[in-house]
Amino acid sequence: MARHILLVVHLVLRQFFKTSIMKISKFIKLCSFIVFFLTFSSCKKNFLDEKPNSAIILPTTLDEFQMLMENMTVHGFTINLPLLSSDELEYINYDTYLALRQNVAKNTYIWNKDIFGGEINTGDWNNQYTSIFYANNVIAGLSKIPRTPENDKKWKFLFGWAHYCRAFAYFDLVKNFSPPYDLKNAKTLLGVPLRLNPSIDEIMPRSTQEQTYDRIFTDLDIALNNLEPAMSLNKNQPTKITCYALGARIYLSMGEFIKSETYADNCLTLYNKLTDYNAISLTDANPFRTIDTELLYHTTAPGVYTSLTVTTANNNINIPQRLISLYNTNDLRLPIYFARRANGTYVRKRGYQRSGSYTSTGLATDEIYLIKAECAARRDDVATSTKYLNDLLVKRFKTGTFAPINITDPSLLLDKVLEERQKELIWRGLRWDDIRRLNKLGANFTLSRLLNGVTYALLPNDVRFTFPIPDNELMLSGIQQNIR
Amino acid sequence: MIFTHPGHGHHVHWPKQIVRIMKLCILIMTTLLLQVSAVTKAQITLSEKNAPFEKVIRSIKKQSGYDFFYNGHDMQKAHPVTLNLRNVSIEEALKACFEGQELSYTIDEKTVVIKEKTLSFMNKVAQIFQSIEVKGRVVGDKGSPLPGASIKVKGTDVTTISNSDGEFSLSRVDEKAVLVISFIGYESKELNAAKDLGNIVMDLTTGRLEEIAIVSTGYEFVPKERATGSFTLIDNKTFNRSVSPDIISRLNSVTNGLLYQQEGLGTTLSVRGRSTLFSNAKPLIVIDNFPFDGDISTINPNDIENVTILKDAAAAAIWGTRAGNGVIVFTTKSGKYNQPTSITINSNITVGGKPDLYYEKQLTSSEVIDVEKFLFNQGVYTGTINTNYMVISPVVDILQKQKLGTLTTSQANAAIDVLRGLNIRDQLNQYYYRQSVNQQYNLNISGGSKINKYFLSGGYDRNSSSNVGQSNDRFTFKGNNQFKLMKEKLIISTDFTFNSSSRDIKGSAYNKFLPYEQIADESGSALPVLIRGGLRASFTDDVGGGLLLDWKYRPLDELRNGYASRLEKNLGFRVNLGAEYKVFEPLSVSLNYQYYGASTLGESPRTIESFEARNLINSASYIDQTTGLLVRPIPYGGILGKDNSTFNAKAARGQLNFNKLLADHEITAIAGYEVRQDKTANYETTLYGYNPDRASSSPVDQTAEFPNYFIPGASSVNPNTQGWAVDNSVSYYFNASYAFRTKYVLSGSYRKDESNLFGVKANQKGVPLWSGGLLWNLHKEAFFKLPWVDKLALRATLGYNGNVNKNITAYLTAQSLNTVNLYQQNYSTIINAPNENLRWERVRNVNLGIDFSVFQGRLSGSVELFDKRGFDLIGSNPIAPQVGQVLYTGNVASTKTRGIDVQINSVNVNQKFKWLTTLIFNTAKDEVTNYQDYTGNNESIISANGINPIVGFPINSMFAYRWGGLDQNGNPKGFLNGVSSVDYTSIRQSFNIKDLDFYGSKIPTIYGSVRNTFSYKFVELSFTIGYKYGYYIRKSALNYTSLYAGAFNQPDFERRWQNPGDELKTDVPKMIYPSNNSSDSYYNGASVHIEKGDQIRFQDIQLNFNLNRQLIRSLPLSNLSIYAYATNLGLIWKSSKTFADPDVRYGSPYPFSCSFGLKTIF
Repeated sequence: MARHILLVVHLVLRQFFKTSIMKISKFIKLCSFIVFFLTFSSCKKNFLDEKPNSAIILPTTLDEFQMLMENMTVHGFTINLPLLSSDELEYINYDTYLALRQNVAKNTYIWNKDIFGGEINTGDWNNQYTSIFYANNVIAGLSKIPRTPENDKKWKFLFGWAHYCRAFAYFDLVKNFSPPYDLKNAKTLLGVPLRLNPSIDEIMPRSTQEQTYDRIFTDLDIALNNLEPAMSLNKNQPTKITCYALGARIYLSMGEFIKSETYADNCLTLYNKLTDYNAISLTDANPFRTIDTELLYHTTAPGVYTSLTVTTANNNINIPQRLISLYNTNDLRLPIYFARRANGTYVRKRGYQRSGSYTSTGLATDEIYLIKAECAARRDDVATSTKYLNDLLVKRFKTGTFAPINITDPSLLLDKVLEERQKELIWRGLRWDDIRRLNKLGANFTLSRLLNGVTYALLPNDVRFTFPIPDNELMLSGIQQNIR
Repeated sequence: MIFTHPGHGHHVHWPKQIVRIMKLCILIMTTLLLQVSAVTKAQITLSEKNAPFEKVIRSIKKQSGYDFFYNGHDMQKAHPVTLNLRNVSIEEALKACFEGQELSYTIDEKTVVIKEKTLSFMNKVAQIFQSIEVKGRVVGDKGSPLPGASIKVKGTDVTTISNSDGEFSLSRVDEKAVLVISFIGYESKELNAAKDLGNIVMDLTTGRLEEIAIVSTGYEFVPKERATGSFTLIDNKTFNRSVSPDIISRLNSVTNGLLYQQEGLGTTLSVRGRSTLFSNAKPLIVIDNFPFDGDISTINPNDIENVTILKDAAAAAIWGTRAGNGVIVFTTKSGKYNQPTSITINSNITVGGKPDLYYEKQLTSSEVIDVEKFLFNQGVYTGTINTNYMVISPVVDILQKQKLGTLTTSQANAAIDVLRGLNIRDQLNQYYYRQSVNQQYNLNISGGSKINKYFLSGGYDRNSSSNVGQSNDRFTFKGNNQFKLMKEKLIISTDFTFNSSSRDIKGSAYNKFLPYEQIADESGSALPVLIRGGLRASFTDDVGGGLLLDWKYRPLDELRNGYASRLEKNLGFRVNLGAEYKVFEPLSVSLNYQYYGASTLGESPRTIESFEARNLINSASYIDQTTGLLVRPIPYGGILGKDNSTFNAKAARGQLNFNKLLADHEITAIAGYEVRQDKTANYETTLYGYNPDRASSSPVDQTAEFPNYFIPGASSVNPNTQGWAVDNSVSYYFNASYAFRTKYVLSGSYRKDESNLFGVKANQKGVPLWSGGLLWNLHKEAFFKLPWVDKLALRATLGYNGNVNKNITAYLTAQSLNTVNLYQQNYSTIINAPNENLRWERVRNVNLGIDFSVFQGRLSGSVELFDKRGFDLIGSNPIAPQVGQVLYTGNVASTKTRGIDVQINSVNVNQKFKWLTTLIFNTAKDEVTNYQDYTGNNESIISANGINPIVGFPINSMFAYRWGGLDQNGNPKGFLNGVSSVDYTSIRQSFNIKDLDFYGSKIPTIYGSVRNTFSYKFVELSFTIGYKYGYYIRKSALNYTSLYAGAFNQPDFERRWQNPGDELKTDVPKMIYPSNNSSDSYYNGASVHIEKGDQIRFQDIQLNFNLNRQLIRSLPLSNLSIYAYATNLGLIWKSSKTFADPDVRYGSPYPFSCSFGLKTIF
């Protein structure tokens, strides 16, 4: 009897239990929330979407995209390899060479077939693609921002900047990792992979040389259409002037002298100021100001290789005597560009970048003057060529000592322009590409090194004038290596 | 305001509602304390033999004051009464009186009505159901509650089990019923039913020495003997064996499954090895039921009752994504119901030795001078000497003077010889170090009535460190209260913890620049010293022609006068509020809330007398070309750095508890919901031109660069910084166990976590983690017939835990460092490429365990095997650099960790003299099973300070370059692709891992301890021997490149190759100039520097005199303990030939320390 009654009671309890358990759990959830949120000030609808950290930025605004473009450790570097392999430096001795920390520095110096020697992520390839990745993120992000009259100016500035940045990076890649531009074979020669969106899931094959250069000029045109014509004091920010300057440099490299001259003219029309070296300290280890008159766009070669540092403490390398001897005694560039060591050898001082110990590889008006002079000489316009050459050189000599150049033979004048180009633009990362393009035109420069009694030579138009693509890129993307 | 910063008037702005909560708590606690044992009842004392019934009733009436109604006729039917009652309630007195009478009674208010019993049919039925509600509390022999004890009405199926406080209640129990109370490990007990059985004290099964462990998961209390999972309990006695100001160091060598690694000044804890690569690898610390993410050093060990370590999935899965590295649950002390007030005072003092400054190898002064002479002759210093402001050492100065002819050779040599005899370490030892003294005082009061229990504790610690000028103190207060309301259906608990600690550091750190410099002269006056990269003595002598401030650095002056100091004040409080409501019999609802707030206020004043202030002001000064006057862009005055960091955690939890025993079936279950938010914020600001008297300062342009007085470069001031972080999480959990006849236990858990860390997509999924477990109490089986086995239980569990990585999100994110580019623009860096598929890391955890006890408890323990597999671990995969990133960070890696945990307790002698041994043995071996990243070249494998995962090798692998000895010229020989080579650059950059020697793990893979305890009467002596095996250490090695740059704290210089033939005697390469950095790096990473770390350490020793009233009747207190404890006693054996302590390879080992203490209980 008792057992039966207990059983009934139990069943009733269980029934009650079943229905109430849901109510109770709802009640619990409610209570937890109430208790929890009683001590909060703001609403918690997006409790699980809250940004976890003040240091994290999810870039969505124009200011945030600008901050991505202002990163000069990403956008401010150019490829080191041309500096390491050109004829503008030599190691003090074999021991110094042996003690070099990176195989790349060793191998590139003697133009080995394999320059990486197992090193990965040396930066030369990666840095430019990082810059492109940032630019692609900015371009993709900008497309989501509605344009209004209020934000239009800034939107265009950033849109132009990102395209300029991409053009600059692709040119730096193509002039080092693709053979010298060849109009006839541009459709078949390999350029570099063209990445136009920020996705990291997609692997691009190498485009053709033509596609690469087309892309560069497409981007440069977009930049020109969006950027302002006035010079910026922030030399990492491009303007129409820098676009023209970059275009002049690229067309010169391609051997398109007419177009190069047009770009140079457009550039100089907007801005043609030069620095008078008579106003520059001859003794200061940092002769130039951060914002130098001549500087159009600031980049440097990143300082991964100790041999490339531009401080008087660089005890690894000498500037070849052959180059030093080119400078006239009244040429101010000798004391301003170089520091003389006690033993009579020379080392490069800081250039237009002033701070830091990496050599300046950006764009400056002196380069544009020389481009203009070269292009004019090539179309036998001696008057124009000498005018630009003399306009530049008069600012490079001690006041009153400069005798204007007066060469009437266009071919001799061109030689003079090219010599001045080597003297003026030394350690600006341009020499290697100059040898490439000039050999293509038949200049017949042979590079040679003497190291530990062994002579190494790089004959004109050797395939080793094109650098190999780093091993890990090949392994992970399967793109084609350069013949070397 | 309660919390103010003394002396400075900086108020801590606690949120208003918190202040309110605190006030409320204090009020509640105070009120309840006053209420303790305020309830009294009428007490009746009777002693009668065959007395007339009516006489007895009259006597009760008189004593109780109750009114009695009855008619005389009924009285005549009454039998005489025999009674012997002392101080009983009226109910009990009446019950005794009416025993066997034909009369019945009812009590209404203070009136008792007596009637003749009428036994109608209905009455008879009613009599069957005449029942009472029985209540009681099951406790162990030391008074601690036994949750989960079973209470059964004898001869029926009516059963229940006790709750977490050991309490139970049974309704409708026949008055005459007998209750059987049983609990594993204890003798079963039978008692007559009664309304309130009070505390039912259970006795341990014969031979058992320890009480049954009740472990805490932070969500519920589980009797260990009914747990399927792997729990290790550190009881109060073991926890308090060692003396320390913090709670973490007390975990060293007392528990299985936990590796306590003390290297240098850092301590790392790991539970059962590592099962993540780059995510948080720290065990979760739980205090007072909630995760504790604050500063652990603020917790007073005197407030801790015991510690439970949750090791496997079944134990820890309830903590979900935070449990992948194990969980350490600290349970704080609380009072006990029905216990008189007791007061405990504990106080101790610890004295530690001076650190041994000579432990770390370094070149002697004479050797350093010889190196300087060598370099001087090589012309190394010429450039520096020619730059008039750059620092040169006194030796170089003398050599230069000798070269210029201002000193003769003999004068120079004599001057240098004086320096050869000096040793900076002597002076540092004298002026910078002392014996450390730590004092600890603690008082606590606890007790409880029937409906309330409370605990109050206050502690004060004062430590003066072995570094002169450094001290810290801590004040802690804790109070908790629990009370039952609404006929004990509702239990409310409050807990409040407050701590305030401060740290005081006087003087700036002095980094010795030269081994022969002196910081004080013979009379003890401070001397100026040189600074690496600083200014030349002759340059600072001149002080800009007297225009500048004194530019000398005298570290001893700074230390003595506190010119540069650091003060830190830390305030923290935790409030826990809880309510549990018994809805009906097996079900209760509980709500818990915690608020934790902590803030650290730091001040770093550097007065105008400090070198830092003078140096900065001087550096930025310049002379105005037009006026010729000195201009100070950084104003004259001190520098005051101020920083503040705050931490707030709020958590609320709602939980359903279900507890039911039905005949042979027992079900316990919890299900809950939890919301939590952790917030940190910090700022740092610096004031210049600071005048402490007026508390004034002057503004300085924080973005400006001030060109230096000397060339080149520029100075800038510290920018103000600030930042915050917030973690939000929501969790759902369920945990249940089912036991059949206490022989078989089945358990399961489920938890889902969602947080704001990973971004929306990952959140929508959450991460479901589960576990399941089985326990088989084999010794309870009828077929099990081994009389010498008291206990044999088998356990098996499987489940998943998670790991948290706060550094990664699913979005494209950028980070803006507080730096500007060359053109003064803020910029940001992409830190995370978008990854929509990001998930939590998971760890699959398998545990197999045996618990045993044999020979009546003389030998007991557990053996466990575990296998942890880390899945979806966050790591990096290389991607083609053309995408703009070199590495893709995502769920790409896997690991495997396997090991054994053994703990054996043995009672070797069990007479008046007792000898107990506890043996702990652990192994944990891990391996990377999947990782696709490039392991990097050989150099990056060798120089990896962190983790460099390589598939097939331990997570922390020790590799070294294969060593080929020295060649006949004293240069090291290595191997490139298996062939002897001196091309060090290629050796280092090779990807051929076969050229490396693999040794093993850098982390001990076998470790444990042995503790012996001897006791005789009131004296107890115990000591611990710890051991660690199966790991490798790397010695530091001579590096000429860094030696030439001034690092003289290097070994083996005297053993270097000097003459042909030395290569047979030594492995140290010859000194060459210029140094070859590649050669140095190769030599430093070569296998010749690898040693086994294996060691046996004399961990500690403890002596305890424990006096109580049982021993000494006249003792004025209930308990008095006097104890002594010593630690850092050195090594008994080690494999290393180089190090006295293989765990300390830089700096100096922890010095020996000794404590004395007194603990009294009133």
